[in-house]
Amino acid sequence: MYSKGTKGDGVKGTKRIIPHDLTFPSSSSTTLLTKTTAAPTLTPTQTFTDHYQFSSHTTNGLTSGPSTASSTFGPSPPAADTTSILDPQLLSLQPSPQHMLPIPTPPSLAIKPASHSPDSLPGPSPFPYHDFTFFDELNYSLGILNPTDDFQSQIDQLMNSVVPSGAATGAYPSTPKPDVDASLFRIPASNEVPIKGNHSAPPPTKVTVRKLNEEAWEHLQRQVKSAEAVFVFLC
Amino acid sequence: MTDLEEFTLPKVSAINRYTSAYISGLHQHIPFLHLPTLNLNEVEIPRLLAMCSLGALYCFEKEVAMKLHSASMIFLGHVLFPVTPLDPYTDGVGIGGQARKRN
Repeated sequence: MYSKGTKGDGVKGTKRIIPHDLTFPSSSSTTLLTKTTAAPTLTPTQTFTDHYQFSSHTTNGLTSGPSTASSTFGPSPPAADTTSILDPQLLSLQPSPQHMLPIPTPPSLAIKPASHSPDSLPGPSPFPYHDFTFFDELNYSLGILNPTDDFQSQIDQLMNSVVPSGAATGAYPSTPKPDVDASLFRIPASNEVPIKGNHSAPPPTKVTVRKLNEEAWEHLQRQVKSAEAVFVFLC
Repeated sequence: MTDLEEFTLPKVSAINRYTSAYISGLHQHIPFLHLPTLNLNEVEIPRLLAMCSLGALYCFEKEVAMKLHSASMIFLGHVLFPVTPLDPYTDGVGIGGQARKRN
């Protein structure tokens, strides 16, 4: 919160007197200034010396042969200008707006807009959209699902067609086959019992805890009764 | 359940079933009990009821688990905060930390 007195003092304190002779320079004075200021003579830049010049017998620009200065770690020579070692080719690869503009693609590679109608596709249609006799032919070719049969018989026919071994039928032998793969991937019949023996279930705990017997249970029951009596007495 | 009047101790077979479910269920993940030295005939009643409560959850008996848990908490409160009727410093606090009724 600011008070009125404080605000007035602040306004008074910031008041400044602008001299009348202080004007912005006109265009003529600007030209005079440009004329009077001598253009700085550009000093010739240092010649670029590529210390990492690539040659055919080097790897990554570094010589693979023995060198005299790399054996000892001494102080680096004083470099007057570190920018002189920059590669001018890298400096010339600055991003420019022309890199962001889309590159016009040739008409042979242009993506055609998707059409919603299959009739617009060139050539004959791969699927007869308006010909429903295809489903009749499909049903005839399958020939396994007869609507006059009940649900269970349809399921059996379907499973017999899918499972090549015919394991879903009731005629499957009760004794397992010696072939392990066939016994693992077959579909068990409803009259089969689960496989007994070693399986992938976690092993049971080897530690056997002593079970609660009747005597200990009676002792616990007496404790509960006594606690209940104490509780009733407290309440 | 707020007191022990409504609590009945499960039968022996039920307690053994709950403890077996606890050992085969929770103990496989949080084994903080030493089973070789665990004897259900000598274990304290709050511990036994807590084990039975967790085992009842594994037996899908939620109501029994809640009753066993409440009873276990009551017994545990009686162990942790033993009060006497004439104790003036713990007046108002009964078994299990519950408010004591006044006649």
